Amino acid sequence: MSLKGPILFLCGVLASLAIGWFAFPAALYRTEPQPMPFNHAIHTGEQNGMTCDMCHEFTENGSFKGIPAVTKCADCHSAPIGSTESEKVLVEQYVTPQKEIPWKVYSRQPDNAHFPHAVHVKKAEITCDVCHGPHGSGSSLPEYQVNRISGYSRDIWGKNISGIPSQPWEGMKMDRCVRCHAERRRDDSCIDCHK
Amino acid sequence: MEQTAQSKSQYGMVIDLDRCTGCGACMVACAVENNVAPAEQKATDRTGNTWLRVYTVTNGEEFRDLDTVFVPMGCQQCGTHTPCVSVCPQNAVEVDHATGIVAQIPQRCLGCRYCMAACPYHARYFNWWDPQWPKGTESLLNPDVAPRMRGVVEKCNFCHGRLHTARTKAAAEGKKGIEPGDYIPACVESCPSQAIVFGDLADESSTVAQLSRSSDTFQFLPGLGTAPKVSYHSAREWVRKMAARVPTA
Amino acid sequence: MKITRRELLTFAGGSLLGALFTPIPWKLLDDSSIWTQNWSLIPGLPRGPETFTATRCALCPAGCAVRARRIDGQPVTLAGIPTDPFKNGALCPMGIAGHHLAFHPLRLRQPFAFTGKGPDATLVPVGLDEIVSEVARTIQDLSAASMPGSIAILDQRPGRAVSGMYREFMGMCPQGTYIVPPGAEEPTLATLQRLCDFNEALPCFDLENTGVILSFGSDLLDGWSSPSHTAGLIRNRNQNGLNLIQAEGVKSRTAHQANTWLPVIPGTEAALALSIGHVIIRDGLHPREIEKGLSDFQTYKNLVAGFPPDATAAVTGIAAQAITTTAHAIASGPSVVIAGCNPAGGPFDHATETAIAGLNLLVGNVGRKGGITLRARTPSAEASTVPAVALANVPDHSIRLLFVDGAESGNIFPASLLRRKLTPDGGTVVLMSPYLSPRSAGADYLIPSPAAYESMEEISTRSGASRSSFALSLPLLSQPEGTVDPVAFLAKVAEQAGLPVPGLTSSEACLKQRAHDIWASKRGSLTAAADSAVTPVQGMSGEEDLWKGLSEGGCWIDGEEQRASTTRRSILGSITPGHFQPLTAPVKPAPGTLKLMAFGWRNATMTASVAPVLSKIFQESHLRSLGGKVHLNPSTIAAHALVDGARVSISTQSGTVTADVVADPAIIPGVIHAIVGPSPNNAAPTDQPEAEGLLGLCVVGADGTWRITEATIARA
Repeated sequence: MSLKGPILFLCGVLASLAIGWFAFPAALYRTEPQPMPFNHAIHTGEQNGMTCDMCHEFTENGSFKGIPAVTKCADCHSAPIGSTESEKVLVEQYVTPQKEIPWKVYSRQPDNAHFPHAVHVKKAEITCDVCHGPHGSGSSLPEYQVNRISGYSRDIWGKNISGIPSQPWEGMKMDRCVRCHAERRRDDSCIDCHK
Repeated sequence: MEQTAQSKSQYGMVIDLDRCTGCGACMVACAVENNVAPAEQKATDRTGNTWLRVYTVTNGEEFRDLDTVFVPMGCQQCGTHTPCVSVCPQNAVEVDHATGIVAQIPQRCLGCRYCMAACPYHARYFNWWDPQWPKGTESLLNPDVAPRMRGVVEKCNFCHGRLHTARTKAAAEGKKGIEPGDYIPACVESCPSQAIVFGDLADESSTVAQLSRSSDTFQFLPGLGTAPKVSYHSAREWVRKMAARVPTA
Repeated sequence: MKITRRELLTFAGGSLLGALFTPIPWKLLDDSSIWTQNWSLIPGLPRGPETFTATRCALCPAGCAVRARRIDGQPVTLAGIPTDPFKNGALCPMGIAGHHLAFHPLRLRQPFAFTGKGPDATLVPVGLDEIVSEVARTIQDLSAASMPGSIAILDQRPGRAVSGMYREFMGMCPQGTYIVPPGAEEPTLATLQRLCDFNEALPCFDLENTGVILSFGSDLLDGWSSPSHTAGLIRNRNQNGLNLIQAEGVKSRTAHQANTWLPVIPGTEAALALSIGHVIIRDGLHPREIEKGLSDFQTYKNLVAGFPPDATAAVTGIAAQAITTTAHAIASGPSVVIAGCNPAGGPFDHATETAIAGLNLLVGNVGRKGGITLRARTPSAEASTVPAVALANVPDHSIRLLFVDGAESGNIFPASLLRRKLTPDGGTVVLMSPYLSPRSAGADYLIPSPAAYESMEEISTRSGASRSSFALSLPLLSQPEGTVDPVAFLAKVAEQAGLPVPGLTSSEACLKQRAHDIWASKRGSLTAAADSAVTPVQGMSGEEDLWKGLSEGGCWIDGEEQRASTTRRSILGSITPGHFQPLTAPVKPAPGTLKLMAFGWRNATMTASVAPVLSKIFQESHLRSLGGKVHLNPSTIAAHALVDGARVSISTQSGTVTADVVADPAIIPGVIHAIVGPSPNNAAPTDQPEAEGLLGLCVVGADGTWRITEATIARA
């Protein structure tokens, strides 16, 4: 009896699996470089001991400013205070001409999602690393990969193409929010998080 | 079950029909606040998109004895047995128990329009066309309200974007609940005659709760059992009678 | 090795099965559904810091206070400020969407010339310098007297600082005339100024303290003075005891809110006013001293003797009892009697205006608190010697070159009224406006001025306010390249024509000059926008303090109002008894004809003046009618064998227009209530100004009014 059939079938399965698990993720995402390197560790580490909210601020009425404007960098870096190449780029290309740095945002959510940082950070007292991981202690920015089809960062689905997070802070889709809310026994309605 | 949400509110309105002059400021304020696009050229009052619509109703008398009432009508935020929620196949609308708001999420809607048939107040609107924003007005959109495309139903959500802002502010100030003065829907804010009173019906001391208990306060189509949280107030007998009647025309 | 079809299919089957165990189908489903939400037909939301700016709406002269919520500097929401010192605590529907006007489909973004005439006229883009040269040359030719005719400027919003500059400019031009259109000045107060000598002061309505308002057709809630201010008075009438009597031939929104509605037959308002005067004199309700104080009291007394209430009732449709009650109401305490001016229907004729305004004199309102008080003019270094001429009084066929300032008054008038003032060849008309409005149809050149909220504009004293004031409408949007400041344009023209006008530089310079004049006068005080703190001008160390306060949204309000001190008072002025139709010979409409009356909602008389989102009111509901609709009483519809919704032809001696019928029991029988308003929302760009439509049917009389026109109606 010929095993050609089943073997071919199996080859088909294996080929599909290989393409699906390795080629597909590589093709689906496009890597885009950040406009310039940024070292969080230098700022938040022992050297300078800054906390997240010193740059990632809230306004008076509680709205979150997100990634700081270049004026915030200029507070310290109006002139180079170190000797790195990246700082030189910062001062010469952005601070001096007062040009906003076009950072690519890893956690950008769709327009219909309402995420109030104030309620989570100030009211629920959730620290930044719970959702954003060790981002603030990294010495370089993670690679920014954008999904070619949806246009969102790879970090929203999660690094792992299976969607199963390998780290507790991975993934920023709605199901992650819902899971955490359920753990904290919150009685939520659609209107709480949707605009 | 541990309840960590803020204490339950029942947001509602009482609209004074004797004060309403029919100017239409509330209709425009609602559209601007909620990113409702201007009409498609072919749109009529049947196919238009007016989350809040002011109806003109007369007493049927001749010229000299004519009286008119202008009735601002948006989603009446029915009580617990909402017609629209019970028919939606997508769970795109639900009653938020913490606020009483009947929350329509257009992003979940598939556009079957069953809810439009179910709503006795005709307060739901379908996007027959994609929104046509005059070039340049995209920068003037309200970032607190999600835009919609054609094929979905939308309606008044009591400006829940402003509720979000009030909650964010309360969190920033370390307060447990929102300040009532921080959550004012656009129509309430815009009325030059201050005809719309908004607030928490569950708070017995609030103006809206007190007004809702007045003998001159009534609801439209009360016999249907929708228990709307939007009530109307008029000293005019014929207006109150009109509201209770099923229209014949 | 040859691959068979079976082998291929087996492999494919395996791949398919394997694919189900890969992320491909599931992830693609998820991603493509997200992709559908990113299409360009769904606009993205703006992001950026939220700020708030206090400014004022400049769409109409009311200048209501605005709190603008801005995202990354762009205005997103406009709301009223209830604590506004002017008490204009809310915005009207047009004001709420005012920030959208800069992006109106009919917005002009470059200068144009109209080539050709009539319906074949086309808009051609043309360089600004070319227009400046052409216009300057015309001025020079006129100076050389090689062409007959005058130069004129039509200012629809007189009283501003730039208005003063326009007057100066005309003063320098050969045969320069400064013109104001009908309705630009409040008719009652303008009439009182003709009847009395108030020296340099201006009469105003002391509405805060009045007890009775008798309004003849004023759209108090729909645009007169400041609608939000009036809405506030009416809202509080239980506390302030206000009695509003609206005498109007249609049950308007104002009439519905009034304590009493007098459904006076259109055209008989003068008889009603004279009859009220009759009752006042008959019952001795007038203050004794006015009998000597009015130079023509006896003439007036003899005139009103012919208008007893019983006889007037038949002509006006107002019962004698109602006339008597009204007379007693206005004489019982401080009151104001107002002669209205509809934004599209225009003012009453002079005789009617005089009869109505004169009632203020008769009951002693003039000079009394709660009546007609006086305010000093806003300080201006030099009062202009160039007079303001009413458009109706400009000699026919006399204007060779006309500049039209596009800052709208909110009112509109038939094009024929302007056309007949131009020289027979049509003259040269330069329209300085942000939008392609119906007025553009008569223009030769269109100069794109800044749109709403794109430039600093003056909020001068609104008509009727009891104290002079000055504030700024601060810009919220940046001006696109190509917009031209009207004053700067005129400065260029003047310079090239060899007529340098000192001070004619820019609109902002005019505003700064006025602020300087106010500071130099040491009068009044500045109320800050942020905390309502009041600072007297006298206490300010430098004029920069005043300008800074104004630039931050503050407003200047003059000091104490003056008492009326006049030497001359007449109740009829130049009007003689012969001007009034005696009751015994009432004007009867020709059989089969109807009274065509144009009606407009202030600031919403044309498509270009309302933001597209106003379609909610006009098109997506029945709250207000679009332009081109005619409202008829159901009995009128039946009498002419028409139906609700019918398409009809309406004819007057000016022409024929088709319209759609709307059955409306609020309209008095016998009247065609023609709506002058916007057209259905049309996003498509167009270079054709919309046709004048129903307004063009109105026949403008020799006195410049067009309130009632005889018309016929038939199924189209």
